[in-house]
Amino acid sequence: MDDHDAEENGISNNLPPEANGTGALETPQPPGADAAEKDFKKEPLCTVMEISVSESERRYNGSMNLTEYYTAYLIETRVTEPTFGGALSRQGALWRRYSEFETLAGYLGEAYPYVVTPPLPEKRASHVWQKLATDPFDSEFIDRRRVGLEDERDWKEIVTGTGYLEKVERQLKSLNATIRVKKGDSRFDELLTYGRELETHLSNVLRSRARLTDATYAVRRQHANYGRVLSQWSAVETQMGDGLQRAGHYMDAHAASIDTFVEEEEVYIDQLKEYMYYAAALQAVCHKYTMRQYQLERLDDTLSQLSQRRENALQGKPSLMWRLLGSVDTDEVREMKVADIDQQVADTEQQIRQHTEQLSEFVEKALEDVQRFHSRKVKDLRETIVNYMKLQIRICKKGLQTWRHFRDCVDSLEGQPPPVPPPQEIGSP
Amino acid sequence: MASPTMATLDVTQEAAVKPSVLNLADESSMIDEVNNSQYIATPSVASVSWDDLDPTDTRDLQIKVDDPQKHVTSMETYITFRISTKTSRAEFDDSEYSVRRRYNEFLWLRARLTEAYPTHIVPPLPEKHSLLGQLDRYQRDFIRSRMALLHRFMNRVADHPVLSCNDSFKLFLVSKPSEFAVHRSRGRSVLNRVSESLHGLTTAGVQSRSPEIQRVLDYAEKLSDKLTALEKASSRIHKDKTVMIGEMQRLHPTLTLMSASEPELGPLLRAAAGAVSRCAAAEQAVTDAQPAQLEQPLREYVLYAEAIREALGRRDAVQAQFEATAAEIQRKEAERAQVNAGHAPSGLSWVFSRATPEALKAEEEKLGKQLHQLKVDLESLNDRLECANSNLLADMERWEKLKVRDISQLLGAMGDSQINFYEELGAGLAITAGRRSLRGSSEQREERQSLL
Repeated sequence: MDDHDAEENGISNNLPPEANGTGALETPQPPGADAAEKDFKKEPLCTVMEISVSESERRYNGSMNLTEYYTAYLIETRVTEPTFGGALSRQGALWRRYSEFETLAGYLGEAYPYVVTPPLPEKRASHVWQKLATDPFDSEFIDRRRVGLEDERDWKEIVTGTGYLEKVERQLKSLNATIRVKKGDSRFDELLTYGRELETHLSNVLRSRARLTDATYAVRRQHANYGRVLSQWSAVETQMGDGLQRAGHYMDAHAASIDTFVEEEEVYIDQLKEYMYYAAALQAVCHKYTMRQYQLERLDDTLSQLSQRRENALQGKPSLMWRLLGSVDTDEVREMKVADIDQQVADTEQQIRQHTEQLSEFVEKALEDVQRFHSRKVKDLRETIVNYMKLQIRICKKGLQTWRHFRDCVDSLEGQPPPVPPPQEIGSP
Repeated sequence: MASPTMATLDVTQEAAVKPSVLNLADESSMIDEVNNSQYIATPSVASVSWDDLDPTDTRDLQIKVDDPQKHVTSMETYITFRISTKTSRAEFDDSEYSVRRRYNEFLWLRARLTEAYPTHIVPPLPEKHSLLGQLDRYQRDFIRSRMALLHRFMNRVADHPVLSCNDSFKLFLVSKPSEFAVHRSRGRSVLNRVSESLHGLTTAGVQSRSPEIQRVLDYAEKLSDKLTALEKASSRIHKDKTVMIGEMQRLHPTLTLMSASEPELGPLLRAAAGAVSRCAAAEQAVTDAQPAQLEQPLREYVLYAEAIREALGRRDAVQAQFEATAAEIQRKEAERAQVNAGHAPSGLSWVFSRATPEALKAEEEKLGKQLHQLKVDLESLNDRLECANSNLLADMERWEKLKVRDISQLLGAMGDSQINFYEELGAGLAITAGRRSLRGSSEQREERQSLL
């Protein structure tokens, strides 16, 4: 999992503490936990502490090769709830690199399969105007989880010890296979469709907007040409020189101002991108449901097969031998076989019971988390769109100001009187 | 010479009055565009509709060029424009005239004007071919831009105190086709041929120019450069803006589609889509106005710089003549001095005859007469040169004032168009973003404050 990030210094991304009220979260608890702490363990971490990814640093691998570097991010935590006496210290800071975030994301996706897990940001910047400074992380991602932060040193061992990697691989393989379930919960079908739609829509919007910003950027920068020509022209003019020169400067300013706006726009676009990945995560939950439902149905199939075999065994007709030789089992053998099958039936029924219980728990929790996701999504996207509009308003204001200045310069062109009085006109010969 | 029109294709939709054979629908809006064009600024190049009199236009000679029509004959196809004149001047019999002229006839008029006033700056005509060389002569944009520049030309001449009194100009405005054809075919005058040959003289033909004249020449060259560069910049922006508008129009349906599957966010997304669409329309309006506002006036002034250089060339020709005459006088003086000293002047005719005193006296007399004539010529050439110089400089003065006004109007229109755009767009966006129905209830109050 080596990553050679092209990112350089990250931008500080402080997370305001949010009282989400998103509901309880079950975490695997060691028995005998302190009664006072139990309350806090049911709440999302963000209600009791501030977590932020505040800095980034380039670090080099052990070798002397300077091209092998990675970027490490500083995670700072500060406990805000005074009565919280958990395992975490009051104020903590530790460095993690991107691959570790990926590991955490993978683990959480496996340990809490019913949750729509927030996505990690991309590794690389992809647009012309983006300088290498991209905001690395959505630290809201971190705020709902506590597991990874408990023990710094042993974290990796704990996580990899759960064998989640194998499970993740198995899952990835299963995602690729098309699985048909006979009677799945239609809510998940709807959810899957919605997830796909959301992903498609956001991807279209993002693509369209990217092209639009490319074009807008080009148009703006062309105004620098106006600036240059006006400036050169002013050198040739006597009366108009001053005004043209100043007008040219405003054109230069107009061209230059687009940079900061585009940078800001990227922040909002990143938020949209996040939801595109969220939509993919939503689809993943649906797939997980389908998987489980499929497994349950297979168990049911196994059960009905077993009862058929029991029938056969009772009659002493193991299929193959009976067809070939027409011989029939002895009573003893018959009883043994039936008992054996009965055992299998019992096991299978046990499995089915467990599985059904897990499945319904999954469904309940998943649908709950989906609700949470929806309300979060509405809030976030609304905020993003409004912020985007506000940015456009600011761009308008700035543009207006610049062109008004330009207009003032132009108005001053005629202001001064001509330098020399006109000579006498003589009629043509 | 009757004008053989086999069929007149109506390029516009003024079909109510004229029986039209063919209506080329896509050319129909051209007349509207001329009337609504935004390069109305100062009366001198105003596009005035006679139906609603422009009260600020107090000139005693107003001209309008519009209504392009295609004429197809067996020999050729060409386009004519309608020239409408309104005047209160005494030398015109009527107060209103309407004639049709084609481009070649404008060229004729300009040639007459430069012939009559060689040392004045005669306003420029649009070029014969489009710059790209590939545009069809009948293509809409080319015709539109040519017509706009023709309109400017006529008004420039009309506003010029000297040029507008010219007979050819008057004929151009009032003659019926048959009369006009007669005038045109009258044949070139001798003077015309002479002045044309003089025009061929390069500016390198003079020894030195006075500082003011030289300044004018240098300025004309530099101005041409800068304005051409400005033209190029604006055409590139035009192209890029068209791409940008296309992208905006593509974003709109994307947002609308998304709004269909998002119940809570739907209104907001649709509002955003609406805003994008309005923005695209506003940008389109600005871009559409650009040719008339910016590109045509710039082109005119680039051509004007060329016209100034032409006028300088003609002035240089007079100076060259003057200098040539002066040089001739010097040579003759030298000859006479030789003859007076009793030497035979050099020259083939003297090789074989003897330098007798009588021959020498005869020669001296001859030279004396020549010199006398030359000196008279020199005087008149000197007058002509001084005339030419002061005419040119005076015309430059007048032109300078016009230029400052026109440039400030051109750039001002550019600025105004952008100001309007941003004002309207900003206001529209603020209204949308401030609408209560689109926002979560908790955010309304705080954020509405920061908007306004």
